[in-house]
Amino acid sequence: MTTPRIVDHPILGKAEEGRRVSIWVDGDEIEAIEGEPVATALLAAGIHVLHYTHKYNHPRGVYCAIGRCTDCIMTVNGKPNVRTCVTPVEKGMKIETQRGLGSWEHER
Amino acid sequence: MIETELAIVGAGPAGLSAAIEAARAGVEVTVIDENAKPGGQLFKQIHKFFGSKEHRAGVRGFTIGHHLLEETRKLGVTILLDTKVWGIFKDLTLGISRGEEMDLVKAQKILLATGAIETPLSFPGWTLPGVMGAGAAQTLVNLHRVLPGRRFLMVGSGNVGLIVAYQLLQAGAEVSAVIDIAPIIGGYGVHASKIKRQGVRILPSYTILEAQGQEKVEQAIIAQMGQDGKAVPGTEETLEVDCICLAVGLNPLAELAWIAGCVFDYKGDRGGFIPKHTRRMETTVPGIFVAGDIAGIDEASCAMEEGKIAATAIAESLGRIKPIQGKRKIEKMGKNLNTLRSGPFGAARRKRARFLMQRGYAIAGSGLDYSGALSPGELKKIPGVPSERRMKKGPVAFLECNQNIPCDPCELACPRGAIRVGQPVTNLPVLKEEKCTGCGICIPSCPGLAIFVVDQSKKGREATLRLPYEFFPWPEAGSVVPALNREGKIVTTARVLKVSSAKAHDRTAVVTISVPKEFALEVRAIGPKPRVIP
Amino acid sequence: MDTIICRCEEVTEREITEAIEKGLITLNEIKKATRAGMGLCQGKICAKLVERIVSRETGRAPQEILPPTFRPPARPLPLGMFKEHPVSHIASAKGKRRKS
Repeated sequence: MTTPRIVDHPILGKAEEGRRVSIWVDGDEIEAIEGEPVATALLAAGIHVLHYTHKYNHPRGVYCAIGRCTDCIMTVNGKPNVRTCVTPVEKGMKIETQRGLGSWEHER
Repeated sequence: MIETELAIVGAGPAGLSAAIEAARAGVEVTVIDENAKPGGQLFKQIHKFFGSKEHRAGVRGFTIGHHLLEETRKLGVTILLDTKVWGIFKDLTLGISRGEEMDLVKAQKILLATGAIETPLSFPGWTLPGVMGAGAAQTLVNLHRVLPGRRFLMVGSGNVGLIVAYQLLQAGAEVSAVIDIAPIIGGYGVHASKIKRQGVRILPSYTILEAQGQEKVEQAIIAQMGQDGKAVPGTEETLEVDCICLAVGLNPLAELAWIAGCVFDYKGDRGGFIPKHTRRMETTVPGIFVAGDIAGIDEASCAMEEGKIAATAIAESLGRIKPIQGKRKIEKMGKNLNTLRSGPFGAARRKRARFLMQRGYAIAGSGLDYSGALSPGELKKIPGVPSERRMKKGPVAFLECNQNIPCDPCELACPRGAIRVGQPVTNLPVLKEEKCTGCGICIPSCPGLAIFVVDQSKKGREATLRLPYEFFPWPEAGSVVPALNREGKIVTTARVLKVSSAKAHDRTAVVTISVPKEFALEVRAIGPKPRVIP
Repeated sequence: MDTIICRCEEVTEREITEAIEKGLITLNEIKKATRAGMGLCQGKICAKLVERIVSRETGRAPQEILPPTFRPPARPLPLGMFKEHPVSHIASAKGKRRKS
């Protein structure tokens, strides 16, 4: 299957060469572009489920993509409820699929 | 505490245009935006805008965004990014926060240009990953360059739905269908034509019943809506899609105006509750102004004009320009705004809006009875189409534009004066066929991609066609490709003769193909489907 | 499963229609009874949906259904942020909503 990344585009041209870095999602290493939103790095890696809801344990993913709806929240480097669609990727980030509203107990 | 003369909340087209206009008049401006990057929705708009020259017609949204930012930089306007405005108080002080820090901004005047938020649509399965706003898909694809799916269903046929569907095609995705609960297409006909001729089904009077899938969208169930508001039995269809985009309207983001105590009006066809404002864009709270979508859902060009009007009124109230100057400027801008909103097309938007409002949807819509594809009978009636006599003489342009939208870049593009729009700019373009040489310069100038050049005059069985093309990959010269009619049906094959694009075309390529003569008036698109370049 | 209306608090359509049946017909009342609009997005998404349901169930026109009351802060803020700043400005803020 071809990648979801749009490398070349008739109007936007070629994608800028961003620095490729490794991030960890639930313990698995994936390749991401430094500075892109965490949610899009996950989409590019084929990961669509970002958290499970508190009450009914329903899967949620990107809905508004601009940081307003909070469906994209995940636990990032131990901090819960991070809106991944507006949070830039940093090398070595540890991302966890969040259950409910997460907890702070993992905070270092 | 930050002190400023004019605090503008929102660095989108309205906010930036206002900042520029105010700064030019000598007002000290601070723009505040909660996003990491300025520009609002502009940078996602990769299509060419309509309107006339002063509205930057024919220019792509993101180019306008760059120009606005460049101007603000030159004028030394302060833009605070990643900064939220969380409150407005009686003395026009704003509470702001960035990260973990808080501050207050003491302003003499405030302009709220906070834009809009997408209207939601609930149905079983709508919370599954893969259901998102059309704006969200646009952000992911045009800003972050990632496709959230491969096969899309677009719910809503207003301009947002039609344009985003087209942009999804450009990004290499498939669009299974565009559906709309109303009986007529909501957006401009040319936006519908662009996708219909590529084979995308547009289904008015259709609704989505359910999104299905285990952990994300795998199918969508759609059905035709009857007069009774219920699904017509037997019309249910399961679409194998992995992404469903909701483009069912926009509503002003007006919490700050409510908090500040502004009085609101309800305007169902402009997005719902809107802060009541004068022609000078001032709300019922003295010193607080509004511009852009917060003041009523409309195009970016209207947002920019409103921003300029508000800024002029503010500059006048601060004594930076004389009342007589201010009055003249505002009148002129008001006229521009009316032009943008004018025409029977502008008035007819109410018809569709009324239909939807009766069913409890408050939306800003527009539409005429139009299927997205001109019939041969309709084609004959429009003034942009040449006579049969002229067609036999040599290559000639076809201006397939049949809606009175304020738009005239084609007139300016023709070096021989063969295209006439005149005033008002809502006139349909008229082709002066004796003057037209079929050179094709006009083809990439049309923001609606509605101009074609046809040459049926050569001996033999082939006619040549030149059409606008904004997909990748470019077809190869010499290759044989499927040729589609306006309905998106493959009617014959075409041989690609040439693909060209000049810098002045701003990324709209022109493809020259040859088809059997009998299809010269039918073929308006080529396949295969565009795909992502790995 | 009954359709979710408030995505943040997972309030279903049935919970909202039940609240309406009990006589709660303003968005403020429904918010307080069901939590619809109290989640992380503060009603940005669901307010329009709840309005539509109220309109459908009570026959009131959308223009008669006001959004829930907005008060500062318009965005979530960590409490610690207010340590450094005087409270007087916040106390004088008016969250009044009126329409003509």
